[in-house]
Amino acid sequence: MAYYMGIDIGSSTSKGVIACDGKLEASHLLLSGVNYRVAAHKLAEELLAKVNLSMKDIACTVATGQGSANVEFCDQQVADLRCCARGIISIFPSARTVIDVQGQYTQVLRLSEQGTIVDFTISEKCASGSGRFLDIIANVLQVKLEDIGSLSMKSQNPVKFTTGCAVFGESEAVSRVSEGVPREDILAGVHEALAGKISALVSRVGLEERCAISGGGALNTGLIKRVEDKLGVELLVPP
Amino acid sequence: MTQETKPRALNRLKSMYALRAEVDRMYEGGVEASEEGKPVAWVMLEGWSNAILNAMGVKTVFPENYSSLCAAQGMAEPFMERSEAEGWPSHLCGYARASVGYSARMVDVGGKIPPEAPGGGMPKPTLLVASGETCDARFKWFQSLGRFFDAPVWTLESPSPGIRERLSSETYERNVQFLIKELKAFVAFLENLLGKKMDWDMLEFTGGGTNEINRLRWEINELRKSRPGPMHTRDFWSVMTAALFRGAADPEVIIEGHQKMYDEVTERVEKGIAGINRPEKYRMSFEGLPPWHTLGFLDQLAERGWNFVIESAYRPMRPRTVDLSMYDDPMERYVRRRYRSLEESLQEDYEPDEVEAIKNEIIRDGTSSRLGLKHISDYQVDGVVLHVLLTCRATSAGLNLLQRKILDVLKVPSLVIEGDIIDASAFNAAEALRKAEAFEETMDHYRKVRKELGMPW
Repeated sequence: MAYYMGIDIGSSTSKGVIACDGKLEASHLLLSGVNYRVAAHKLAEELLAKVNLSMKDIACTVATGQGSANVEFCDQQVADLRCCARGIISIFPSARTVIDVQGQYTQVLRLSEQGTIVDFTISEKCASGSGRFLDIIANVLQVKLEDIGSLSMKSQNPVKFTTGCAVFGESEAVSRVSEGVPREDILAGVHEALAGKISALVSRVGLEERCAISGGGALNTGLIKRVEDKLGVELLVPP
Repeated sequence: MTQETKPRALNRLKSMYALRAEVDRMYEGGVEASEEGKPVAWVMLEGWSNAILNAMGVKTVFPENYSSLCAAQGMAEPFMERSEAEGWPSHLCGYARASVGYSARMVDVGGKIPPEAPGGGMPKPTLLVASGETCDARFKWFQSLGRFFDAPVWTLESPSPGIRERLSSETYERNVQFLIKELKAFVAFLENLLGKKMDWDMLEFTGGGTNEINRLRWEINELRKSRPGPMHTRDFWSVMTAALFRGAADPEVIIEGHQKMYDEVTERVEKGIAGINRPEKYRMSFEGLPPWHTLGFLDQLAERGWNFVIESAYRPMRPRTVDLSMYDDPMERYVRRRYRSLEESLQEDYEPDEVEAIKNEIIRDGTSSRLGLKHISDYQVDGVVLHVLLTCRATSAGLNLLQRKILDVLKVPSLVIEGDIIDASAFNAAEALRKAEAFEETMDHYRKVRKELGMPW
C-alpha cells in the first residue's frame, strides 16, 4: 500500500490530494498568497494532518501549477495541462474537449481517446480571459466569489461591456454601479464577456464532444450556463 | 577530485564565432569611419542599397540589427523607455522604439555615441536610407530618426506587388525597369550628397559577392536537412547579420567565413553530429522573428531534446546563374542578377505538377499555402514554434492560418508563443516552457498520425 501526493500551486489557490491505490484519501485547498513556497509547505502539512501521515509515508509527490517550481519536496513536476488532461479523462472517459478556467488563464484542450493532448490553446496574457476577471468584478460589487454565478442568472438586462480588458472592465463596473445598474446585470455582462472569450478559444482548437469544464470556473453555474449556450452543448462538470 | 559537468545544451559551430565577430567589426568600422570624417549611413534592411553605398565608399550600420544586438545584451530597455518618453507608443515595433530611444540619447550627449551603448554603438549618420518594404512602420520611422540629426533621409521604393500579380511576366519586367530607375535616382542623390562619382566596377564586385554568400548559405541550409540536424537555429541567427548585411564588411571575408561553416557542417553531417548536445527528440522549425532578448530560451528547449533545424526568417534564396551578357548597363546587371520572378522561383523549387497546382491556387485564392509549408516537409519537422509578436503585424498576421494549414496538410502541430523581438517584458519564458512540456505530448500524437498515414516522417 503506497500513498501518493499531488500538489497544485495555482495563481489563486493551492490544492492538494493524497491517494492510495487509486482511492482519494484526503484533499485540501488554501489561498496561494504571495509566497508559493510557504503555501506548498502549509498545504502539505495540513493535508498530511488530515490522514495522520507524515512525508515519510508518501511514496511519490508530483507538483503542478504556476508555482510548481516552488514545491521543493516534490519528486516530479508536471505541466498543469497534462495533469488536467489526465484528471478529466479519468473522470470522464468520453471527454474530447476540456475548458480549464483558471485564475490566471483559460486553456482549452483537445484529447485523444487515451487522454493525450492532441491540441491546446491558452488565453492571451490578459486577465479578461481568465477567472481573475470575475474575481475583480466580484470585489468591486462586494459579492462573494461563490455567489456571483447564481446571482448573474437572475439578470433581466445584462450589461454589455465595451472593453475586453479586465482593468478597464473594473472601471466600467464601477461606473455602472454609480449609475445604479443592478449587480446581477453587471455580473451577467461579465460572465457573458468571459463566455465569449472561452467560446472563441474552443473554436480555435475545434469543439469535439463531449466537452468538459474544469478549474475554478467549473464551480460557477452562471459561467457554465453561458458557455453551454454559446457552444450549444451540455458540459461535463466534475463532481 | 574532478567534477563532471553537463555539456551545454547547444553544440555551437566553431565557424559561427568568426562570422559573428564580423558583425562587431561592422559596427567598429562604422565608428572608425565616422572618426575619420568618412560618411556613414544608417540603413534599413531592404536588399538593394547596401552594395551601392559600399561601392560609393559609405560605411553602413543597421538600426534594426543594432536594436536586436542591444536586446541580446539586455540593453534595449533603457532605449525603449526613452522612446516612450519621446511620445512613441509602446505597441510600436521594438526595432523602431529602441533606435528612436538610442537617437534621443545621442542628442542628449551632443551627437556622440551614448556611453551605455553596447557593441561600440552606431555613430551619428551622414544620411539614412529607409524603405517601404515589409511594413508600414518603416515608412515613417527613419524620417523621424533623420530629424534627430538633421540628416538627409532617402526612402528607397521597391515594388511589392500582390502574389497574383507577381505571376505576370509583364509585372516582372515593369518592376525591373522601376528598380533600375529608382536605384539610378538613388545613385544620383548619393553623387550629389557626397560630391563624388559612383564606382560601377566596385558595384559589380560588392553585388557579385552578395550572390556568392547567398549560394553558400543556401548550401549550408540544404545540409541542415540531415538527421540529426547539424546546425541549430541560434547559429543561423548569429551569423545572419554577417550574411544579410554583407556589404558592410569585406564580402571576401564573409564568403571565406561561410565556406568554413559549410565545411564544418558537412563534417558534422558525415559524422552524425547534431546541433544540440542532447539526443534529437524533436526536429523543430521556428516561424517568425527571433526573441532577441531571450535567445537562451531555445537553449532551455534544447535541454529537452528540441533541435531547431530550420527557421522561416532570413532564409537564403536558391542560387542561380543569370546570363547577363546582353546587358551593358551596370545597374541593369545589378538588378537582373538579383531580382527574380515568382514563376522562376516556383520552377526552381517545386516539381512541375506542383508548380501548376500552386499557380492555380494563387489565381483562384490570391495565394497558396503550399509556399509556407515546403520547408516543414523538406526538413521533416515534428513541431513548429509560431512566435506571435504583439508589436509586429507584418510577421504575425496570418500565423494562425499557417498553423491550421501545417496541421491539416502535413499533420505537424504548432506551438504559439507570444512575445516581442526586442521588448522582454512581452515574453514569459516560464509560461512558454510550461506550454512546451504539454506540446511534446501533442507532437508525439501527430508522429503516430503521420505514421498511420504513411507519411515519410
